[in-house]
Amino acid sequence: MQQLLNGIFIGSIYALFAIGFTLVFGILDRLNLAHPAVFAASAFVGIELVERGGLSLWAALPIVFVFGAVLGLAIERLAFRPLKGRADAHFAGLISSIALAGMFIALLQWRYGPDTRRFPTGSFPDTRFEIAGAQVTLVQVVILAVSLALMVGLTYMVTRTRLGRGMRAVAENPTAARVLGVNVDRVTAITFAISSALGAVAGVLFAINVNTAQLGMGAAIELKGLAVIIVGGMGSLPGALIGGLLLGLAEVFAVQYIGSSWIDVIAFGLLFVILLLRPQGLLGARKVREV
Amino acid sequence: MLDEYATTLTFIALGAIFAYSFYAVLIAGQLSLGQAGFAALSAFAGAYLAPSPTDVGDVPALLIAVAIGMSVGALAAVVLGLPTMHLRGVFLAIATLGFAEAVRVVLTNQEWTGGAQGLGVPRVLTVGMAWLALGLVAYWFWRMGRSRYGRALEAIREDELAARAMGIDVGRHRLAAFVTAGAVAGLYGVLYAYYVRLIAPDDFDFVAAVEGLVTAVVGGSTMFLGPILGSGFQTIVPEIQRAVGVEAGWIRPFLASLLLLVVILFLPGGLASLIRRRTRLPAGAADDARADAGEGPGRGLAGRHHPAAGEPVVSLSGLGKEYGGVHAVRGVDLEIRAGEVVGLIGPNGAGKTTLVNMISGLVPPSSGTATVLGSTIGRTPVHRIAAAGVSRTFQHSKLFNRLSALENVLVGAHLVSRPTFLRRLLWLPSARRDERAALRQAVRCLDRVGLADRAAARAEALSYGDQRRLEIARALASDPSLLILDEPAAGMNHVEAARLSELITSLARDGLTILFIEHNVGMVLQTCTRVVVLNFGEVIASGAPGEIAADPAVIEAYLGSDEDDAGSAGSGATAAGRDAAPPDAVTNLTPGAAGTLDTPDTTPRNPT
Amino acid sequence: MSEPILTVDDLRVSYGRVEAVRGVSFQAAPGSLVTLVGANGAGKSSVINAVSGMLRPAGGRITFEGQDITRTPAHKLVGRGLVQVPEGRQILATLTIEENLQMGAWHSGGRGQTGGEAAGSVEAMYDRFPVLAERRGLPAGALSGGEQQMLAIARALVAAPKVMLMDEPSMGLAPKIVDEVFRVIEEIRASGTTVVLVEQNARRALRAADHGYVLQSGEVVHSGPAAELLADERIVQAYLGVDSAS
Repeated sequence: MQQLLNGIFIGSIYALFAIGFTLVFGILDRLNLAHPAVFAASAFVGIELVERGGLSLWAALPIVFVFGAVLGLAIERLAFRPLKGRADAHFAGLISSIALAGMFIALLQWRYGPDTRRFPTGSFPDTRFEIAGAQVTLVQVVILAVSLALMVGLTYMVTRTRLGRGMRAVAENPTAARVLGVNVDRVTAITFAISSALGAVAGVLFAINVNTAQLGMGAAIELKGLAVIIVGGMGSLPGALIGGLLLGLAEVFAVQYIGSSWIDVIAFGLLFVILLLRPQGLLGARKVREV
Repeated sequence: MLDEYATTLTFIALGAIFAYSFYAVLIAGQLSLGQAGFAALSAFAGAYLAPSPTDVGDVPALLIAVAIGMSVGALAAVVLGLPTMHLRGVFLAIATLGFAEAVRVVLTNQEWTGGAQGLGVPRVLTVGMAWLALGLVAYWFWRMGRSRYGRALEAIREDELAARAMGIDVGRHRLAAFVTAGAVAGLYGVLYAYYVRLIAPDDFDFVAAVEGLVTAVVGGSTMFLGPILGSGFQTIVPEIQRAVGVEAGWIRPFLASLLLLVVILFLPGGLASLIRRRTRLPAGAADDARADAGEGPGRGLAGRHHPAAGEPVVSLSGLGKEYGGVHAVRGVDLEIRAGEVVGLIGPNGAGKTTLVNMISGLVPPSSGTATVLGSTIGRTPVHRIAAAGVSRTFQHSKLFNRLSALENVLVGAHLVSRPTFLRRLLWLPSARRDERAALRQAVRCLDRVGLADRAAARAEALSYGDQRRLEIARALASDPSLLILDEPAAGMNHVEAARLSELITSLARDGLTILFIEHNVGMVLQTCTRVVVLNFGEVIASGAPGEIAADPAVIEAYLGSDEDDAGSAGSGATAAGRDAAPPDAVTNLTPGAAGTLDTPDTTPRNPT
Repeated sequence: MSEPILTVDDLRVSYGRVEAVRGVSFQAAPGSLVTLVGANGAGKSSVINAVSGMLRPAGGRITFEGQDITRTPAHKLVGRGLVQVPEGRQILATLTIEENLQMGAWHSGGRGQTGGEAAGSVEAMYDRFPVLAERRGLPAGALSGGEQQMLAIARALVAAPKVMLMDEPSMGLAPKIVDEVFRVIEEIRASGTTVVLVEQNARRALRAADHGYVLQSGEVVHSGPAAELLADERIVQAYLGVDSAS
């Protein structure tokens, strides 16, 4: 039971991170490899807000959300929009976002130094619950609640609102969207903002969960995020949710039964099986290629 | 002097070799990150299995390790490639990345690798050896560039579908490129191991893979010098920063990333695009080609057997294609015999392109059967249909944009030219002869469409009309039995269209069977021996040009029904007072009168 | 004749080095139906796309309600009442029929939700096209070609157009469906909306139109009252007798 809950907590963070990844992929058909840098940056910013700003953990979250959105706009503007219409945009977008990620990480190093940082002592309420014999902290419950709330909110936004319809229209057929009066550039930019905002919140939640922030934390979750979006189906939001939870649970149980040194193979074992058996992912739709 | 920079120079060479392992697949348009895994496997296998340098001497030990490592890398690439080669773009990248990570974790958990502590390896590699190895790898890719194999890979990168239609077996070529990448990555892994003294699985992690990819892309993935330039750039930028006194810490990675961003945004072809790529015709090739003109396939080219005049080339029976409930083509019966020139006309959306896509094997039919030059459509891959003698152009030009006009046509000659890459490595004269034969064929085809003087121009730089003609030249280069042209005159002016018409007539005189879709009905009526009219996916008329021109159903298909409400065609009831007079109009349509390509009298032009 | 609502003057459109439209001029009076006809490749679609802001013209001037819109992007024109029904329908196959219609109200949709007025308009479309109402919750890709065309037209109507630009609405449709499409077009015109219709099906288009322009090789070669053009044999020639695509 304890393992199950732990798996769900970490899995919900994976899912939140992966949803940001997959959202951009669904709209633009591009991987934004600066996403992990946003994840790391917001963890540091979150810690600073608590440490210097004296905010409570929860008050920092909305600020980090906005911070992530701003980074998302910058990523779209600097790394992706200039490549529009280029024949090699696929490769170039990977490289330009990697370059931007490198710049973000370098700036973090300038601001915070290369060392691991933690939240100041006493930031965490020590309320604990017992659920079916398992120990759960209030912090963990809030992590889960925030992730789920954001994912539900995003799903509602995408499926029910005007902006969500616009995003789906741009994803399916940018030309048709333009004919209907959609400002495709703006919808794309907003998508990046939302994606990065989610990645940013995931970063803080992750930092809260393990009470550390490191410059390399983005790279570590990047691989898992990629595995999750393939497993769930590229561009599929519920797919990313299920994939994230699946991975979180699989990892926790792998640690228990196989040993912690094999934990990283789990994600890729899952990834491989899916790619071989169902390349479109659990919930992805097969794209039809036109002649 | 050299000693001072030996470390830097060695790392440039190593970085470049690793970048070549990415270049090897990028050149075929594939994105893989599995090279780190290949390198890791090879490094550990080579270092573990090869005899110690103290027993056999430095160089033999290194050579044995290299042989082991490259074999392991290539083998791993086959094992990984077989199930993943059908993946595209980022899917392949992530799958191969997953492989690399799995390799890393597995190696970390083995005892013989020393686990996370790593495996000690004697330093054997010198800067000279590293550059020698780099030279050999660069030589390989240099000689590959202008071989039949190298061109085929580039063609796949530029347009996979068109490459298939030129008879290239895309799956095999992709796998070959992937295995090359595995072997080169293996070489890198072993050389790296014998230089750094201590290797750990973490040396071949995700960051390393990304660095290799970045190096290859920054250098440029369309020119064989790219990886060396990229590695030089990536290695020297931090060195220069150090030399000019930029402090360590955040500024160096920041500036390096910024430079990377600038390069990728403002130098689309990578650093190699700063070097101009020359496409020159070997002296005399054009003259040879002219001397050959009129002959069959030249010496050094595989001969082709063409069906005799009158033999069936295409036979379709009840052929249909349905897309999500919409019948694009239904129940088409059609037989085309060798020597015929068949025009396929009909209004927009009538299903013409779908029909020729089925005949050329690009689209499987949903119903009916079709045999084209002995191959059954639907079960035969596109490149086999091409090998049977079908060659085509596309409605929207599908040229290999970043290749020169000449190279485009050389790819077209893939099926009739002989593989030359391995012989080119050894500079065998026979390879040169075969390359020249292919060149002659290509120049002849360019000459035939009137593009000989544009041979060196990039396809994307040609005017629209020239691009259409280049596509025809490319299609002709495979010495096809059946030539399919999809709207070849679209975008051409009157003069060009008239010349095209002449070209088609002259090709038909040579015995080529031609099927072409065209909106320029006049041209079709004048050029074809038979015209087939399609509307709503069905054949509504078929016959000699004269009959078609006199068929009211055809006029109606083009100009629309003359009735107000009833939908049935040809019932003859005209709305009162409207004098559209189809019968009169038809008299203008006899090939002699209106089928000419002269401009009409446009004096009554009435601009508002 | 009243002041034209849409005027196109010496319009030029190029794709790279190829000039697809070489100095086309035409105008549409409010409430009229104007048609541009011509064979494939004559430049009709390029003209329409330039007017709707989907393409950037290489030269010339386009005015709508007296204001220069030559370089105004599409997303600003829809809100002003210049709406296009694109060639090939371009419905959003993965969105439901209802969502497709709601996308028509994008510019007036308020913040984050469908505005009341737009929703009313969507309802109005269901009354007008019952076949859409029956299946409003289905993905639009499930509709037949003719139904998709109706959806594309309905979607444009939701945007409350003053001028509706229609690009080849009869393309690939069976004759009976074409009749229906033209009936709808005439209804739209009868309701006071100006229609600019691009068609390959010249006879049908000219019979429905007030004024016609025949395009060939990117230029207007004939123009005049539609009824006169309809009787003019040279049109047949423009379609079938000579190179259509230069």
